[in-house]
Amino acid sequence: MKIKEAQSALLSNHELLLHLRAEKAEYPDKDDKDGKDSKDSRDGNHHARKPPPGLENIFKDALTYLESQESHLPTLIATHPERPTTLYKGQHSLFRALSQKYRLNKAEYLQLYNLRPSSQVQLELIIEEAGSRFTDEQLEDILNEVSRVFDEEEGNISEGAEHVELEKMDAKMKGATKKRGARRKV
Amino acid sequence: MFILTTIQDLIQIAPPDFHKPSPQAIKDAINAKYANKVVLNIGLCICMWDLLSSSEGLIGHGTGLVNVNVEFRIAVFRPFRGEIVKGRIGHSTQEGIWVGLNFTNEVFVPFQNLFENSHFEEGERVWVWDSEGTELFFDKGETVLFRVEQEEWIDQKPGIVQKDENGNVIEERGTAWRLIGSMAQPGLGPTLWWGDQEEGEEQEGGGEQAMVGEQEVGGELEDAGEQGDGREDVDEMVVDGA
Repeated sequence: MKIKEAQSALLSNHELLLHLRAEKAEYPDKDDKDGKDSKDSRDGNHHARKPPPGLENIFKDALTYLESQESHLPTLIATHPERPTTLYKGQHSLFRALSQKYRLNKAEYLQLYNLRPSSQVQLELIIEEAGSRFTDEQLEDILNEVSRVFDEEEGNISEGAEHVELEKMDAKMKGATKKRGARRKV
Repeated sequence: MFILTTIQDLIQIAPPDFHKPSPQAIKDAINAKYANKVVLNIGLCICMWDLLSSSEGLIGHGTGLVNVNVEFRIAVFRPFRGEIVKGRIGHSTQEGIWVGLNFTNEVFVPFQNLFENSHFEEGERVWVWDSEGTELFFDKGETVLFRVEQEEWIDQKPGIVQKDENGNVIEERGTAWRLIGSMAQPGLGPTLWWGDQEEGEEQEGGGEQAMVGEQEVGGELEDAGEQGDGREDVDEMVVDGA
């Protein structure tokens, strides 16, 4: 075993949930005894395929965690059933909505996706030094933007919006970094 | 919380799996080897994300196993320091609170990392936070938010013999990885506490939070900040050169 890259990408819980659901669909449903499972769940020779034991546990436990009652993910999937990538790419993504106005870093975006803050207390947990970086009104505005992006019905997003090439704006991603340097000089 | 890790490995497919089409057989073999297992300094592997490349299957001497060199990406549970994660209180002891995430129970919040004025209720075996006269309970099964403070890796490879204080060999293997969390900031702890009455609470904890933030900014979010840092360095160098 050789680790080529310890961290090639960050995943949001939403992306993982979608992936796990897709993986699970490949295997026949245990409760589905009458053998009416879909064709995909069988292997080349139409034998029912069984998930490896470790994976079976993951399906059970990780899906329970991701789909738990308190989680916002089921609703998120319901509002973006066909094209979930619009949340991450294109004009309708959270990044486009917020990066125009606020400097947030990658970790903060990731947690906005994962926790979907609904109160200012939660938002201040996610955003480092929220008190000194943003005013109360700005935080309120971030919350509104977050709920606007997440609640946006997929139907209202134009076809292919997630594939449109947009101008890069990564300079805005610097977030807290610059501020940190500035303080040190003082 | 979750990341993708690229791994190169030699995967063996046993003859009973030969009836499966190759992609399925490879995927099952990878998942059998990695899913739900902790890899040292990588994290808890969830499941294969995608297959990047694979070699021809090679059969060696003596066995009927097909050996395939594969390169794949795997989804891994590896929260970063400072991340806020949702979990459920498993059980509490004198030392602190164990938090579970369904797929892992190895999250520990030591009592030093709880709110000030917290004490352990021996009778009910729960931690209680005395917040200005109001007693708030860290009840079992409660959904909580906690902050990831650090991680502990314990190498469990077969050659290592662990001994207790008396020199007896410990047979049972413990966990290879443990997360240390904290619940000492407004918003952390049971989500119920922070429902609607945010206004008053916010001010009360404001000073404390600022302090915690200050201390940790240095080491935190290294990965996320990297891009920005690099860019700035380049800028400075250019200025110097000119």
